[in-house]
Amino acid sequence: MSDPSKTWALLTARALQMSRAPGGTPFLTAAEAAQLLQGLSPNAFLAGMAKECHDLTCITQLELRLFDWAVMTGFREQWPEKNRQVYARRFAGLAVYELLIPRPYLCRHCAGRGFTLSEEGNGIPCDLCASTGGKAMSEHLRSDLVDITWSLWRTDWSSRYHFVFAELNLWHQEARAHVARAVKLIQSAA
Amino acid sequence: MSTEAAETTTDPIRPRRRGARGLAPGATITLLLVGEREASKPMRSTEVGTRELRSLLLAGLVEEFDRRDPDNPKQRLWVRLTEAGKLAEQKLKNESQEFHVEPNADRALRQDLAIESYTEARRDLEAELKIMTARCERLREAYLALAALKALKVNEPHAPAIGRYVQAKEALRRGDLGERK
Repeated sequence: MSDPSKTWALLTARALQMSRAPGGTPFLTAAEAAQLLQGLSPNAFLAGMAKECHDLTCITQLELRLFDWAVMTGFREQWPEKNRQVYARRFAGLAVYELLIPRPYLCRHCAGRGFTLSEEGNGIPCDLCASTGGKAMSEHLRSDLVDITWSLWRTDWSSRYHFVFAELNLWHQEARAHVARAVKLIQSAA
Repeated sequence: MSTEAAETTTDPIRPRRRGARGLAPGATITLLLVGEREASKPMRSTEVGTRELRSLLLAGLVEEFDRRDPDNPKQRLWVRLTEAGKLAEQKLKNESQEFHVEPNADRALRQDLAIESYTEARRDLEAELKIMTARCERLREAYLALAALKALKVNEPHAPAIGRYVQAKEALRRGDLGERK
């Protein structure tokens, strides 16, 4: 399953129902996704549960695991010792928040609708937000939330944060790939 | 402008020509509502845009005494200069040959000229104060959310606190100052 769009379509296709009764509601419920997430590494499992199953009780554990990973990485990469732990903890919280809500701001162009109306009343897809209706968090807001001055954030800490965030995304990708594999197996068996 | 505009000087009390200074109190002028001012078409002295007319009426400088054919968007409106309008014109006559009121001058004129106008200005100020209070409240909300985030302990989840702060900031940015319940 190399094509990510096909993987995602498969995930959202409620494969079990559609293989038996074509025309069913195309989505995979949170309970089903949680069932399919079993057998993963703890990090990927927590990321999948938080993002795909909306299980908010996993957030703290996920943040703490990411925090541990960030502290270890900071030690290895020789981040400045001062406030390293504090920043690593906030990195973890911010990364989890961005994983759950990647576009927290409303798009200014379409006001969150994902499309604009032409004079004839037809919907036109919004190019600014690619029809998502949202806008990603700014770097300034990230530096505010981690409580690092903008100059330091821009020069030093921004790249470190994105490194941590990329790791969390890897965990999430692992979970998605695992679910996609499981769905494919069930589909082929049916 | 069409020929209609040129016919606006048929009033029995004829408005003075462009460049003339001063209209007597009680004098009538005929105004043609021309919508928003078009840059390519300079207005005649007897024509005002709806925005200018609104500011004139609000400031109590002119009073409406006849309106014809309300269904026609290009209707003629007959207005009469008030005492306050005469004073205002004296103040403004050195600033411009055209008869118009600067938007920023409105409030000062209201306070100078009439008790009703003063009440109106005060109502405006109170509305502004209400908006400012709501904005301060939102700002305080965001500040408290940020302070709470910074005071979190290691084993507490940070994402919900971040969400509260981001929401408060977003509301401020959008100017969404909805009534608090």
